[in-house]
Amino acid sequence: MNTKYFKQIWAHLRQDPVVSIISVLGTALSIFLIMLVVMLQQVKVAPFSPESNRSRILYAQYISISNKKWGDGSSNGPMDVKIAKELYKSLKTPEAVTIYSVCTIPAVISIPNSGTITTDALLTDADFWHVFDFRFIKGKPYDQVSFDAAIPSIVMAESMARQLFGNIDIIGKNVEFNYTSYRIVGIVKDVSTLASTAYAQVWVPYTTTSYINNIWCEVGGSFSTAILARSRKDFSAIRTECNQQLAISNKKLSEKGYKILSRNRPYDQEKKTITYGANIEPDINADHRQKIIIFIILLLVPAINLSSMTQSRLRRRIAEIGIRRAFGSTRSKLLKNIITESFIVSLLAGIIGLIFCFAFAYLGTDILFAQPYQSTFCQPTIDTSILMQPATFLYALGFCFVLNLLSSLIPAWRASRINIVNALNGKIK
Amino acid sequence: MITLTGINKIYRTREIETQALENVNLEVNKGEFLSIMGPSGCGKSTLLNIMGLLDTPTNGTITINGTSTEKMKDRTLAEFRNRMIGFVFQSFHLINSLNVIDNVELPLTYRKISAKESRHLAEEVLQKVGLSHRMHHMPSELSGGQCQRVAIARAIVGDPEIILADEPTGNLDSKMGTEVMDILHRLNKEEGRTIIMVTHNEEQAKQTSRTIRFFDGRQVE
Repeated sequence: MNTKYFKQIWAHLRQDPVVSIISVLGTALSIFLIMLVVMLQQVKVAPFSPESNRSRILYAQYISISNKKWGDGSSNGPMDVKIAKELYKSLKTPEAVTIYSVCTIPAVISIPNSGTITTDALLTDADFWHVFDFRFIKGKPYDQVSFDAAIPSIVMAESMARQLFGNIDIIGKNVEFNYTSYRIVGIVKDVSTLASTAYAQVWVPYTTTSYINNIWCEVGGSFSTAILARSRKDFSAIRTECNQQLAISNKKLSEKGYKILSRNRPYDQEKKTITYGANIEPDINADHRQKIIIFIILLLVPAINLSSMTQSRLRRRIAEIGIRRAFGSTRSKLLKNIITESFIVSLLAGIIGLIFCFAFAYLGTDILFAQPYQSTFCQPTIDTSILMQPATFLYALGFCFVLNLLSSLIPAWRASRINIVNALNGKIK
Repeated sequence: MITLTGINKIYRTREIETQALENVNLEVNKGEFLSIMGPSGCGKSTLLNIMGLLDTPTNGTITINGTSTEKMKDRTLAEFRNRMIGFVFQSFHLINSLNVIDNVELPLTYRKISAKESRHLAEEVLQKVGLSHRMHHMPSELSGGQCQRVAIARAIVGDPEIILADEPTGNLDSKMGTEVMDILHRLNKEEGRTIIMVTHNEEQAKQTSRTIRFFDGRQVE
């Protein structure tokens, strides 16, 4: 890009510092606001460890069942391990399928001669470590053999290990987990509570707990399923296979009058994030519409303000427009020049807005990322890998561009239509 | 070089209609230095703007180098202005946010030439008008005479055949005015550029090859 653009923009910004500051800060705050909304959404869907495979995971968090005797009613909630295995573990298309407790379970943990600590525990199978990519600092996950044999093994988050032992060289040592002795097999990097599926402070095989015995309505229990596809392209095949399995299971259940309702499960990451109840299928289109309306409002309000500022800036440059036209600029070139200049200013403001946004996300994590139905008392933590998503920058760039177009297109178009002689004489007509 | 045939220019508002030019027929030859004189508001500048394709006549035709400009679209007109015509205005009309050399380069930014070549051409014309030492100054740091010399450099950087000057010395004292006129005469005599100048100054008009006079939108002499 021509450096004259930058030189001239800088000169214009310096000509009227107050208006420039208001204009740049106004745009920056708009981008900040929009990016906060984007970021709130991003942390729900963007991949970060240990949920790096979010884009190719399908979730069956809940199961819904009806019975002829219940009329239109249905019972909805997490599922029993047995039905989870029957419906999902048996699938041939996916790369891996994991069954895990629907949420973290408050548990007590201790070492000999010390008090107990409350911890967030997740009950999983061995495939859980395949579906989610935890960063192991020491040791390794429990394997299929120890899972099947219900050997009490435990994987611990680094901070929990340090809290209990003061260090992390503890592989092979024992801890009391809910008053049962477990052998520590692995230490992983702490997981943010924003990793809504994989988060916990300790992970144990569900075969070593009594939670598998919590069964309701034939198929209900305490577990959910995550299906890792080889690629997103397999989603359709997986869903077809799921429906086939569902038909088989329903045939068996029909003898007792039960029927599992599909509700189009399993859901992808985005649909999972808007699942607020087990008894209704989330409407992804309605959610998109809602978001688009929010973004339009967030863009339109500052765009109207910025548009009048752009208009007033151009009014001061009216003679320049005439000069440029006199010396060979076409209307379209002038339009392009004004929009490009405005875009550079928007981009500068966008960078400032994004910095505000990141700063706010770090400093205001508790407020920003507080989750409505949190099963943990742990504060949400956030790190660069979660926030610094390439998509976030692309969104910011896109919003800057749209905001710029909305705010500069009309003033630029009007400027390009001004009669050259009038423009040279400083008249806007 | 330039032929104006039956040019009329009428400005209309809701209330009144003003005839700025009435049936102007004029032929300007290649290499001529033509001065246009007349009282304020007689239509001199309007005529110059029409000749420079900055404004359109209400009716009548303009032919430059045998090409009629009547049906030219914005893009063609812009290109025509860029290649054929250089403007020098009374109030200089430099872009205050650009330095001297960037101002001079302006017409070249609308041509497909390299930045290096553009810079070289701009430096060359600045030397010609005796301002190579002020290349990186801002217009606000120059005197009126220097500003007008920058404007002349900008007008000639693209090597146009025609220079249209609207009271080029109107805002200058006599010494600076003489300097500017000297440059214009040099461009006319040494480089053969066709110059059309609007002026109120009889002395300056006498030095040009032909003078035409306007009164109330009509050519009277």
